[in-house]
Amino acid sequence: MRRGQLSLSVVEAAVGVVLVVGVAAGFTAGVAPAPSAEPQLDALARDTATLLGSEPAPGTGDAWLVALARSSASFDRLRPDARERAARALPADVAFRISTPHGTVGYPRPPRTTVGSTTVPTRHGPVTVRVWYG
Amino acid sequence: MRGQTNLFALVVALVLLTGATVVGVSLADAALAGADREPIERHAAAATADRLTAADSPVTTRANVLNASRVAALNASRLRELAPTAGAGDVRVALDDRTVVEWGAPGGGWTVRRSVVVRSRAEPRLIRANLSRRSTVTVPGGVDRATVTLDPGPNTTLRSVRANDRVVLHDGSGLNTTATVHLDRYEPTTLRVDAGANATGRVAVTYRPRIVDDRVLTVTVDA
Repeated sequence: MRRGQLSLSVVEAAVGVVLVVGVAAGFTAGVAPAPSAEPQLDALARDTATLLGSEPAPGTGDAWLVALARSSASFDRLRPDARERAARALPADVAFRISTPHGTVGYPRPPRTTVGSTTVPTRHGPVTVRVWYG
Repeated sequence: MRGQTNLFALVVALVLLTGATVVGVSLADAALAGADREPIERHAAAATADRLTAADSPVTTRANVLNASRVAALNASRLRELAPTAGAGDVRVALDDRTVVEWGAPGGGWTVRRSVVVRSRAEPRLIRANLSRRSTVTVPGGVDRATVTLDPGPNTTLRSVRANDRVVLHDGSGLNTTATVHLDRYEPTTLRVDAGANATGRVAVTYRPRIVDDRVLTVTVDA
């Protein structure tokens, strides 16, 4: 015992602990990951796109998304109203950004945030709606 | 001496192994229980919200546009019919903070929020015009249908009605009727009655302006 040998039982126990913890960790890692906020945000982004895609923008004869994507002039004219309209459609704690071929409406997107997004094709180009908890 | 040391090591080893097993198994059990239970609530809430906001749902006029009177008529059994998955537990459907349908008393559970607009109809508006003075009536944007009543005077034949130059009513032998016409809700509509220079008679147009409110639809399922 003076030769510094580890007891065989302790070695066996260590191997056993590693085995058991390994199996348990397998269960923990193998099950579905914790529910993320992403599906919820995706749904809100789709909702916003659906609403802005079917509601007429005042004075244009087109839906908001189509009117925003149509031309630079149309985009600049509608930008303040569109921002207000989208903010009204979303819950108060959700921020948004709408990207069109002529520019963006909404807030700058913070890095490393979970973002829900959806892209809607219009006849003037694609429009992307991104939302996140802000 | 040697045997006793081994016995001590064996006890320590057994204690370690038992402890690790208990901790490990309880951790795995908690993880499994959590994984097993939550998706039911999550899927039920998401599916119920999807069904409610879909374009072909009985409470919507278009996707994400709820009809206020049909929402008011919603009750627990109709909601269960619409979304059988909601029957998995206690459910609450609310618009902003106002509860629409509830059964059981969902305490925690999973909540899904969706952006919708609720459309209700205001009191009908009536516009009358005397055809000897004017032949056009303007309906504001956002209205998708209107009722037109034509009452031609003597010696007057009204053959057609146009909405923004699109013919919506026509009869070669003369119109003397009440009819509902569908309008483009994206812009204001000018209804023009094709009347000759000396036409007499009346036209009345009735429409119901829409009131649109933004709401957050909340579906909570607690299984």
